[in-house]
Amino acid sequence: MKKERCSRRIFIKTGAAAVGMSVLSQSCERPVHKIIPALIQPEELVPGESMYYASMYAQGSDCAPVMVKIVEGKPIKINGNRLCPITRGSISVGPQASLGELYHPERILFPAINNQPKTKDEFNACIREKLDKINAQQQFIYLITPSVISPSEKEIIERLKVVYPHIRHFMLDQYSVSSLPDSYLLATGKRFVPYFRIDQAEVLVSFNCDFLGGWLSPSVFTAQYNKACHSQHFKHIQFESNVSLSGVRAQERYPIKPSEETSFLCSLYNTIARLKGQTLLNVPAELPDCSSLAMQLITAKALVLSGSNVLVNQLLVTAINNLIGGYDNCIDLSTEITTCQGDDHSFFDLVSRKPDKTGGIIVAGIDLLSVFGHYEGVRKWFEAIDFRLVCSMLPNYTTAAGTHICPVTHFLESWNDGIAIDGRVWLAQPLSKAPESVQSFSEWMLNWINDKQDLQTIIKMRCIANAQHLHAKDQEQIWEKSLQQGFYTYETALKKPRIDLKKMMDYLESQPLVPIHQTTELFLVPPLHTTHDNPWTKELPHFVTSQSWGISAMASPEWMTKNHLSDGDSILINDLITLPVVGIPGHSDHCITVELQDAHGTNTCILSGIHQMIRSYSFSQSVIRKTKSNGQVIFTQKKIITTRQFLFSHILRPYKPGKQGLYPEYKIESERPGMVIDIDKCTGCGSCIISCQIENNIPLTGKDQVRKGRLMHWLRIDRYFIQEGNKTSMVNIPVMCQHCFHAPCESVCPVSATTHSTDGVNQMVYNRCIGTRFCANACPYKARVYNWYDYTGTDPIPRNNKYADERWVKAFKNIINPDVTVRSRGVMEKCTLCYQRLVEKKEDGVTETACQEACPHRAIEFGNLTTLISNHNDLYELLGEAGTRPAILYKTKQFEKYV
Amino acid sequence: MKSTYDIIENDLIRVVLTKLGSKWWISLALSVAGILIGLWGFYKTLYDGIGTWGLTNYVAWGVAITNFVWWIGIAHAGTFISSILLLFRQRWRMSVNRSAETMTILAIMIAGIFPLIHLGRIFYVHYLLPIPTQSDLWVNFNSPLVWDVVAISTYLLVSLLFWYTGLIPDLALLAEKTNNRRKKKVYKWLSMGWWNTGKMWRLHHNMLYYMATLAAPLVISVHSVVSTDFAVTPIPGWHSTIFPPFFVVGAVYSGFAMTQILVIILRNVFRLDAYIDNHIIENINKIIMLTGMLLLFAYANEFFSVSLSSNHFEIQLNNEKLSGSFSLYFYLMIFCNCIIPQLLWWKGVRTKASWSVIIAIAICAGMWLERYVIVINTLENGLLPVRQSTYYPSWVEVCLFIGSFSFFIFMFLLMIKFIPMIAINEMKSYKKHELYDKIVRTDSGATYENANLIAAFASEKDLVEAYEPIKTMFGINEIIAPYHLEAEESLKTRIPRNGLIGGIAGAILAFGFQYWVMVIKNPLVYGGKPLLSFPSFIPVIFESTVLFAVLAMFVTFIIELKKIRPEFHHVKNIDYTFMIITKAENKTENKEKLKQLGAVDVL
Repeated sequence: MKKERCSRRIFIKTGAAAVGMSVLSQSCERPVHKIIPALIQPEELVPGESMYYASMYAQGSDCAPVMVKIVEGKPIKINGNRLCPITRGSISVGPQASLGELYHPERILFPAINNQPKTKDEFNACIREKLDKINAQQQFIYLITPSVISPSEKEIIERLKVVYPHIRHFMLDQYSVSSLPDSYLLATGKRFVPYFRIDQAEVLVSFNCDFLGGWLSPSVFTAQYNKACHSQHFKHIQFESNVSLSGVRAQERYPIKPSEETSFLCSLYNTIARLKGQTLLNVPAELPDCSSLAMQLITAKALVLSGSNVLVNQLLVTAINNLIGGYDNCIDLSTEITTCQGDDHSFFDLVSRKPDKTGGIIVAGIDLLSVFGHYEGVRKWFEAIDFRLVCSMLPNYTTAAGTHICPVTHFLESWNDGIAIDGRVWLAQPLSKAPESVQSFSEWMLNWINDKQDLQTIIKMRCIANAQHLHAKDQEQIWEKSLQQGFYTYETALKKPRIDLKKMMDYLESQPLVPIHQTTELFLVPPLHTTHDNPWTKELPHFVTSQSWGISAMASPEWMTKNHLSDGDSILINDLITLPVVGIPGHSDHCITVELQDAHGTNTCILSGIHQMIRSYSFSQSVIRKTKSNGQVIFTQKKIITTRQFLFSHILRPYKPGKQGLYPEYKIESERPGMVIDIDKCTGCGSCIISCQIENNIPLTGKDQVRKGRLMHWLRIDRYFIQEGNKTSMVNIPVMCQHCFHAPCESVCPVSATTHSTDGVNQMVYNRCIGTRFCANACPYKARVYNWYDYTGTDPIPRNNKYADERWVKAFKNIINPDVTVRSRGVMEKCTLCYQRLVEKKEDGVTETACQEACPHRAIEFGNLTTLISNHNDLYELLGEAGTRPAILYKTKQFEKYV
Repeated sequence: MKSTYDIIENDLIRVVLTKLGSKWWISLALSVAGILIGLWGFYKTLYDGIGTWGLTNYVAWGVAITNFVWWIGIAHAGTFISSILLLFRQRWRMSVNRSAETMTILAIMIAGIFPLIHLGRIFYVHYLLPIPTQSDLWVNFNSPLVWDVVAISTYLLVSLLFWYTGLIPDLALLAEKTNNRRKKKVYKWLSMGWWNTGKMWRLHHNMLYYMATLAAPLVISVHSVVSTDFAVTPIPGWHSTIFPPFFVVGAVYSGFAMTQILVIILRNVFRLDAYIDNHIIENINKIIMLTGMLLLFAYANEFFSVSLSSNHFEIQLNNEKLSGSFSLYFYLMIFCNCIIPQLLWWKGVRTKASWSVIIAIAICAGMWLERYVIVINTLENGLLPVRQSTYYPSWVEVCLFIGSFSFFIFMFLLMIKFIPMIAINEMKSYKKHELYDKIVRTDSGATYENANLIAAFASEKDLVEAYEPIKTMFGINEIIAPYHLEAEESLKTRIPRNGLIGGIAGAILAFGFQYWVMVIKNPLVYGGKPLLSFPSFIPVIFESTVLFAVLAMFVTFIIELKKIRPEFHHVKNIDYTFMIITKAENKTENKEKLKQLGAVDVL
């Protein structure tokens, strides 16, 4: 065949075709779409910047004002509201950890009737129909809620009662303090609890009253207590059976058995009555000597408190307070605390009555069957009712037994208000969008009475009730300002009732005095954090036993040895519950303490009893048997029982500026950040730990990993039990990275992943770290933690993952702080002194670390190290012997006699 | 017992040249199985994370670092034998030095794996190298791990070069003796054109001595650097200045024990009783006893200095060892390290191979336990008394150890197959008093037309006697001998000069580089130290000096070796052991004269 050559014709043909095609392709224009930016942007939303909103935390009868940090529409941190004068920003573990519960995997998302999910409208229609029917039949509907602190909710319940007049409202608290308002009912004729002013007292005597921990309103009492501690003359004496947060702070602490409390109170009353020339109580038994205590109470402004739920004890306390003039100084009868309105008496009365004319029951905000299910007849009574409407955020025992299930919102998702004590009303705003069919209980009630007014308007109306005479614009301003600061003031005009001493005495004389028993007593205490199956609180080591992912009973070491038990052995309590038991120095003898909670698979509420129609939490005789243990108990610390001399010689060394060893003296420049932690104030509550964990995206590791010693908290609280003679106390030392000036960890990192910044902060460069873990070995404080696995799900390798709980991964990812890196597997991490906050440069120049922000006792102070050193004396370095010159200094007055 | 040089060669090369039996294959298969187990452990560690190990936040180093220190310790025996015993002119070392050096190289390689495996993010291991990175961060020369990187790589390189240098004559012999064509080519290439001339022997001899001089401080410095991994931290139990010499003594101790085990196994399996006789075993035992007593002194020193101090934490740590949770390991360690070796005081024990093996195994185990106690006891009981953490090694770590051991055995078995485990040339030199030369002319029978006469001798003695007369009479071109003859004068080489230059260059380079990195490029504050913290620079400077000196010397050696050209190539085909290539002309009267002087044959 003839070879085809590229002739000129072919070339020109191809060339023309190419040019033509290129021209065609260029000219075929695709239609141009213009994108239009949003003309109207929400003016406050700046991507990356955080905003703070005031709100109110409410869980059952526990409430506290909070400040929530929102980034791009998502709440990522809960702090205390500093603007609120009564709490001054104190916050505890519960509110902070409840942030994750917004994304709780078991949240009820749809209303259901007989396990059939319904839409909101269907459900409301059905409920209205049911309520109408029951109303028409003239049957009773019982509404059971915890103490109603919200005035708007109260108003709505009144509206509900107007529409359905046969509704009877009962208030029951999760942890009963029923005897307290009952005692005031007897004493004054009015059922209420007055406002205890610890800040006005010079001497505070507390009998088993953990006012810093979980009694009535801990956030308020903590702030008051802090204020009282500033005074030199303040003295706090605690008589208690277990080791509580308040007991740790007490100057004098005496362990007593629960049954001894009554005799102590009787003796105290009689001694004071003798001194004051009043009538004595006729008590046949022998009473302990309280003369010195009585003298202290008479000579100063004193306040006596009791946390007991026995009516006799509360009456005695009221009588004593009356005698020592407490009602003139420290107790304000014109104001009432609203968190303790629960009335056990009426509820038990209701249950014991014949169940005729009972049409239905509405339970909202309390897990009735968890708390009361073991009492005789309660469960049967509940299940015998035809219409059982249960409103709850999470599934629990009561929702399992209910017919109509109604989902309610998390506190961050709805409008709410709550009466604070001092004439202020706290406000809660919705900061996160609730799921579609979920509303707050108040809104559900409004639906059922077909009330078209929405909850926000009701709350707003109450807020501007006193400003009706003002212009609408000014009213709006008042409303907005209230929302900004989180509260508004209202005028209370309560009449001050009068104490009838004679009536109390008559009653007391008629009651037999409880004898002191030598048998082992069981004592039930309220838990420190009321949260629902929250892995953050489950992982947090208990402040006394240092147990993580589990709950145990506490007893004294003497009792343990007498019964041949060692720490971690299991005991069977009253043939009901098996728990591990731990010996706590300072715990009263012949007594076992159990915290009331329904977590870790055990519901300890079934141990509570009933006495004179009030829930009873102390039992003089209990049956304790040693059993085979059903799981390993995880303690995150060794129990150290030592002396103050040991702490002074080896652990804490007085801070002395100047040259140490061969290194030249480290000059402290003006900008160096540092910390002073007052360990006299630290109760070990763990609020700082949770705050640090949430702020810095510290992952949860889970039970298995904690058992292997891989707990990832950057901040831990070292607990030392001090035993001197027969007095025991506890010293809590929060330990985080000490940011040593002569840091041993920095010299040993081979890749320069940890260096000292020019600020004086020990830096950790996550992306440079290759995970040799040399720094962890070199750190004398063991302040560094390591990512053994990928606990957060951020690594691209899927096999690395080890989640604490698979269901909570989404929750963790949703509350991530965008200012802080999330670390991958194989990287070392440690406290960074919240460097992201230092860098952010606040407007007023004051930066607070997360732990400082959260500490309810203001034990942690962060700032310029030179200023701190000049402001404080009695400063100590942790492990000063190691010569590391830490930037974290500890302040305490307990070693004064050794220096 | 008298034997010929041939018999020596046959005995020792037989292992390499002949097909090995089923025993070797079975051992190889078992070791491969062990390696697979180790690979599973490695896979688990790489993919699932270090979390699969039993480590905790307080005990962050466990069995992996124990293994690391143990293997490096074992490596020290080979260098000790090759360098320090060489300098002390201990001729008995020649039976064991090859296997010991092989053990050293393998042990260093295996030890080097452990710090890599225990990294959390092993894919960023290149951050450890002093190379420019994207983040502009350089390594921290204050850190003992960086010193480790330099020291161990130096040690590996120097040991390799030392081993290789000693191996060159044997490789040439293997090239000659083997029938496999491929093997012949490889051996020939590896032997750098070696042939048994006197010049080469003199060069070789000098090179070995110079390298030994530099490798001797390496024996002491490398394990000292490894011990600083622990000694620079302020943790009680580790914060002790006795650590460097303590570790070095322990290293030599465990290394010699491992050498003893290997040597006795070789002896029994390959029937090398003639070469590794009881005298050798006894000498190894004597060194074991010496280092054992030093170690006992170190333990006593630690015990007394802690008990008589008022440092509460150290006393508590000691109590854990004596009566606490670590007492079992501690007493086992004392038993294995201090009590069992006391049996060696009896001559009957220390000359018997069976007893020596048992004692050596006990020592190896005891030394491993000692590292375990040092690492983990200290970490479990640090300074603050409230930490609660017990460490249990997990299955993955056990598998990694099994893998490392199996890898060692695997490589050793391969080495046995390809390289004679006893230095043949040195053996000939050692045993020369017992040997005579069987005169065998194994050439093809052709006569050679030589311009110069070649005198062949029956033994070394004859050659040495005839050396001076022949030199004065005719002049000598070259000597052919199977080993270095001490009669000759030493060769003038450039090796020492280049070594000095290399060493100085290495020191200046190391100091300069560290200065540039720490003071100019990355002026970061580490632990409050000044930017120019000279004590931290010293280990790297020291190791760099040795490294560069050895490299310079080795390069010079190879160059000079290659320069010695085989002018008399046709001589290589004649299988006389001792020959002098004279400058005498091919005349009959010269032949007669040479025969008079003792030559057995003249060519």
